[in-house]
Amino acid sequence: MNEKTSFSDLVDKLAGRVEKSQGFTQEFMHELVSIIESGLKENGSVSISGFGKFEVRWMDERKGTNPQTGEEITIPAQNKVVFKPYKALREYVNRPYARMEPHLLDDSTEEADSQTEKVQPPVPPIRSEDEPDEDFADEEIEKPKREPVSKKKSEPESVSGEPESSEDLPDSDEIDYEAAPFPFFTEEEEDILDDEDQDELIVERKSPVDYEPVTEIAGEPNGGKSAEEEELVINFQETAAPKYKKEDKSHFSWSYIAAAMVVFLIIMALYYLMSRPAEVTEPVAEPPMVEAEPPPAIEEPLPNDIEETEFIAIIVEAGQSLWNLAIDYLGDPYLWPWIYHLNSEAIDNPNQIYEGSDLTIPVPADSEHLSDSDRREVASGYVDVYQWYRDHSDEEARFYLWAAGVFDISIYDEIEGQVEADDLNFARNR
Amino acid sequence: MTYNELIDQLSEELNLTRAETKDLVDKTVQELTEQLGQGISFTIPDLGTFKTKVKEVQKVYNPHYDKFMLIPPKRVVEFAPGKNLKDNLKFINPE
Repeated sequence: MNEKTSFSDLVDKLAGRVEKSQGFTQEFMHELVSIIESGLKENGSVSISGFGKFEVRWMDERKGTNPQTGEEITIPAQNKVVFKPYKALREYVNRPYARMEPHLLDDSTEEADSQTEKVQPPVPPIRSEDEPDEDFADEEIEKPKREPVSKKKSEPESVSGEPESSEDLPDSDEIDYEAAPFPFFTEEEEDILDDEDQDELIVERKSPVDYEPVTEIAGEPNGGKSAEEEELVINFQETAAPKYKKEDKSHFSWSYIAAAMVVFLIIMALYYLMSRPAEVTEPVAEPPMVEAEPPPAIEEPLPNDIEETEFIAIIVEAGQSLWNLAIDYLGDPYLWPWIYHLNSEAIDNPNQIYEGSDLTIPVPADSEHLSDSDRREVASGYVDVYQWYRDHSDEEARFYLWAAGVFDISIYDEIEGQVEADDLNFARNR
Repeated sequence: MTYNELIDQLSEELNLTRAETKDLVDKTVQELTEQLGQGISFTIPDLGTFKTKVKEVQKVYNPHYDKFMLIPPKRVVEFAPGKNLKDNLKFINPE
């Protein structure tokens, strides 16, 4: 698992991919690196779409120990370069583990679980050979299958604390889920366990890092009946989306069908949520979680819809802005009015969002090739922003109107008469 | 520096159109992503080393439910800046 490839091999492969000479590719990489470096020097951060963001972070002076001598030393204040991978990269790298979900422990099973917790093999990703392998690597269909095997080998090494328990590890295919306390459930296993764990919420934490998008949706498990239950169903539909998205990447053949169905459900759910937003969620201060009870397996054949935009719910953290959220989730900062449009009830001033508020965030499959309906959404978002600025008599407002037309020109006809004629003329003629 | 600024500068340096540069960068990102997706680490001179690491299962206390929960293992990307990059930026104050 710890294979390494040399830079020259990497350049070779890349040269093949871009169909250029190795010399050119190498020069390109050097140029890229030096621009990243100068960008870090000047701006303190460099963002590469679909990959991640390099950032310079100032570290105050701190105490540490010399790992060799154990002696205490003072680490002087200095800059540190950090890299924050974006969603696409994170999810791609985490594919072998994508189906595993956090599991709430019962007090009674805690002991047993703590013994086995270190040694669970990842669920091997299965994919069928004939499936289209969207973004990456048509040629590597076989590779992910190998990964879990080698990972299993490497795991005991890294678990130095509990080597003995790893000896007992059965092959992943042979685990008797009923007999052994198995902390992570796949869909089918959860179905089995569901009966026992009726009242227990199985939670999912989606984020590898703390700045991450996460969703909290929780109903009181034992709460009142009808209204509450309805909400749970809705919440579940909404949060099921990212999950299926992940599974798409693992290339389960049925998941394409399921994803299409889920997308439909999400749209229904969103419609429902918009109509009664006040009751929907209950903001909580702790690290947010997603309720992740397994959705029923959906078998009906439906048209393939996986390119559709997914919607996720997040809780705003300190320091976030619509612009940043659009970078992190939508992949393009200029799509931020879309978030504003979707959350018009929750956000008034587009320049101000509050820590702890729940937002619905669209996650387009490809931010550079939005579907017509998505472009319309963005355009509507810009019109909303225009309205807000217009209401606050800001002269800049008309530029937002113009931006709306960039995304969907037909929106001008629709809003004619509802907006200032001057502004509309400006936008049309710009 | 935003992605667009990066593309602008890069296309200037390389004497390529924006579209060509963007295509190059996107393909580079794809290639690097694929390598990392296979658990392969690599070092880019003057930038640093990218590798993946499997984070072990964690048992954490969840105060909301007053229960412990297990966080499944996951594979994450790690980046260690190269020495040159680190030293060059150590005491710079970007604003």
